[in-house]
Amino acid sequence: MGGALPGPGSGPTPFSLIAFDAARSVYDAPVIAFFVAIASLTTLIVVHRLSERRTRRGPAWDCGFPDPSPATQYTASSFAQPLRRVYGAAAFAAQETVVMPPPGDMRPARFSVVVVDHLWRVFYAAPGRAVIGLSERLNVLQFLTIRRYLVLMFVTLVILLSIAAVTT
Amino acid sequence: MTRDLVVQFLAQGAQMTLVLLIAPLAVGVVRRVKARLMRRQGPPLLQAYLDLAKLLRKESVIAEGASWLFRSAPYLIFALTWVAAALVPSFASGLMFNWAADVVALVAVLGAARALLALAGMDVGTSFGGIGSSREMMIATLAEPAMMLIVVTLAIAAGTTRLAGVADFFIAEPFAVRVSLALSLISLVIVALAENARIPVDNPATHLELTMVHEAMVLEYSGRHLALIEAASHLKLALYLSLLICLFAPFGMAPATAGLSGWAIGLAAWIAKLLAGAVLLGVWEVSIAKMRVFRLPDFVGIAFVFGFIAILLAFLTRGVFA
Repeated sequence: MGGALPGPGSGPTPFSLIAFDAARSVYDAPVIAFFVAIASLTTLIVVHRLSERRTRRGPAWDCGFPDPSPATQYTASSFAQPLRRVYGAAAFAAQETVVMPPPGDMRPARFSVVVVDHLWRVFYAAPGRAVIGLSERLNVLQFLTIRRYLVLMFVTLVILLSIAAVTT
Repeated sequence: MTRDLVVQFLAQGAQMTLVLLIAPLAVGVVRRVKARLMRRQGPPLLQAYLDLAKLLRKESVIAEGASWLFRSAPYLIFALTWVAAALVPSFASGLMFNWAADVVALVAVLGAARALLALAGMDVGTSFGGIGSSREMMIATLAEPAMMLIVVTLAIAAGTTRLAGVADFFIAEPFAVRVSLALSLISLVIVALAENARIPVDNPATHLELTMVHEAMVLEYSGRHLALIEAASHLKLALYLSLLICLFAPFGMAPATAGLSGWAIGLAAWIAKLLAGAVLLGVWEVSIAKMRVFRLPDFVGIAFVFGFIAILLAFLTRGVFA
């Protein structure tokens, strides 16, 4: 690599973003946005000129949809289901347990999946636990006497002033 | 400078129109080849154009409860796919988009169109749109990383991520057969099949509830909205065929300095190669069956693994021979 990267404005238009040099990689967002805008407008105008403009409202495709039962609604977990299934073993440490009663036993078979979201565990649950643990330990600070609070303030002031004295 | 920009703008506009006009023909060729191989008469070659015209003439029925997103998404999806198709060099490598965006931007534009389509699929709230959208996203999580690996491999080989630059590189070095490029080719073909909802990933000819992906998302659309979605999917097929041609068979493409005669040769070569690609796709589709949805990770995963091996090989051979 070596050398400084070219700054903005060294490409064909003032907004070009260039990595290394113009012969390797250029990205010019305004040109792309301009063409997307032109293409959308052209499409809108041409289609509205050429096509039948009437629009009617009708019921949605009736395949379990009009049933107001929550079991037929499409939910966030329905959306995640294929992803969970594909990445279950690799990314989510999924564990499936099947309890199949023997013939003659009238209990229903049970199927359960345990999914561990590592991202949640590391980036949300662990910091959350740390914050709660810390605040529980610092809770005692709420119940000191006035004399102790004054001492704390006095000590803080002395520390700050000594830092100021050393640095200036 | 301004006159130059105007000429480039016009040439780019001509290319956009051309891609738009030829895309339904490619689809017609695929359908015709499939029908003939199954000993059916098959629809006329121009059937895709007739279908679009018919859909445009019909009134649109919009489901109760559909929001503004549902109505505006087809226009945006079409426009984004159209611009993406224009980013791929077709008959000449020196057009305007040559310097405006590279293949990474192309993947991003297509990703935006895909996100809009998935949102529109879920807008009405039916389970059909939902399964379509979630499966589309599941396939995208597998295909997009593979696509980026292919991009990196080509960038290592050609020293640029600009599609036109890669094409120029392979025109200049047509016989440089490399293992990493062969692996990238297989990988890109698999990604193209997955992205275009072709067999074995999805069957564009059926509405079988348990297996459909793309058709499930667009089930609520009709009239001009459906025409736009269909046209966008035709464009996407032409885009991926052009991409394969541009990266792995760019011979005949006019270089940046070519005049009108060079462009004419490039145009004839591009159309011939595009239609040949459509014939190959038709043959492929009759020779293989649709896969179960949850076997797809294995199939598209091959693309990812091949892309990864291709990068490793590209790094290794570069270290030895460069």
